[in-house]
Amino acid sequence: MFNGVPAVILNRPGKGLIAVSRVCTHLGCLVQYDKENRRLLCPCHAGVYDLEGNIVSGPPPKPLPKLPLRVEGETIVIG
Amino acid sequence: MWERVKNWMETRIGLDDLVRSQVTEYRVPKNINIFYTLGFVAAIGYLIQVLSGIMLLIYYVPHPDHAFKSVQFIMHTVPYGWLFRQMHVVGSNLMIAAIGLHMLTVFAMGNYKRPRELTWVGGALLLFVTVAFGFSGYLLPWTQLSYWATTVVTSIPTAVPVIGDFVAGILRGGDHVTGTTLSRFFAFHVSILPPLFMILVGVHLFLIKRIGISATPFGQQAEEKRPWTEYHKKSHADGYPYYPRFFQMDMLMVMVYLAIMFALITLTPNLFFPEEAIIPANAFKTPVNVRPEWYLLAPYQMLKLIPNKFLGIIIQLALFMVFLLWPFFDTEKEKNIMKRPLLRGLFLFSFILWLILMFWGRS
Repeated sequence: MFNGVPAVILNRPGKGLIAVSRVCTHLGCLVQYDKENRRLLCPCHAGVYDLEGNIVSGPPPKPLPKLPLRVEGETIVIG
Repeated sequence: MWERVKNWMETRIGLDDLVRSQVTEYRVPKNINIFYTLGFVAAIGYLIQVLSGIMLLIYYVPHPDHAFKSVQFIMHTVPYGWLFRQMHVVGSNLMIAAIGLHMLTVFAMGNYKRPRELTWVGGALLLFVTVAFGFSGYLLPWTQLSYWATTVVTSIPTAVPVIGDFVAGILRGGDHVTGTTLSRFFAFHVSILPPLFMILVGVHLFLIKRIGISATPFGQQAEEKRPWTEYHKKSHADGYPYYPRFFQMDMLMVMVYLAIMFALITLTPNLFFPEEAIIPANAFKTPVNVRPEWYLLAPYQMLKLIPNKFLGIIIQLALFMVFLLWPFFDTEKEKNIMKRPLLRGLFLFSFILWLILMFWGRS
């Protein structure tokens, strides 16, 4: 949770960590990680996002909001 | 004893005259049919909702930590608690079906036409309030299905520019569905909607009594089928008395309503309780099969199909306004839908489209 918003931290191969909101921009359901296709999937209306939070397909109108993230030693700080 | 009570009442309120004028000598049109009973059936349906709802209120706790458990307690521990909950859940769906069917038949018989435009508007608002009852009640058990269906539906207004987020915030009491949302929906369900419903029923009944029941357009002289141009009460002096003839039809249909309700409760007890409806709400996991109740599936599916959410909402609002104010759009004098191929086509097209969207939304 970050500011009351469920979030997910993704480890992108070669690109490092990124934190995005899990709240689908379509109708507010929570996206889940689709391990097989390496993407984020909304179970409500099949909105698909890539690992950057960008829209791949489906009804979402906007990408998933990115959350500020930095790594301090062995600690990941969001915000 | 009974005679004494009757005499006491007779002296004070003129019971005999009341029964004579409102029941035994109250006339209904000669060509009345079984569909005219649906308003009465819906009223009995509402009475069942009130009584079963009061029974549920005794044990239900509107708090996120207790709501789910209290509903499970009602279902498994309270004597006959399961019966009252099933009656309330199945009854809410049947009541919407009864009102929907009532409006469909009123539409098909052209009974919304002048001078009954306001009766139609009142009925359409009653259908809207009944759906609001269903929607607000859906969240109360605080299950995965109710939590996420409410999340989805309360997100819909956010597509409207400027005021959308504000409206969603008012509905939820915040950015997300929380205990505040549960409190609001509970208050809405048990203390705001019931008086609103009763006021609308009062207006609806007043208009029916004041204007008189509309005869069907079938098998009448052309002149009789046309709406009149000045006020006069339609009293149907040549019609049948309400009691016993039409009263028996009312009672028959109430029995059919109850038979359907108890058949569904007995034979398909899980019809309105899919797997997600028996799992407590989890704000961190959205289940796969989130969908609203069947009566909201068509507008829900339409929203999914229209790529622009704002456009989807505008189209739905426009369709609702057309439905609500239909008597003012349809000024054609002919009441008989069988003699109006265009209207008949539009009616069938809309109905079939609604069915397609409903089943599509379910899949």
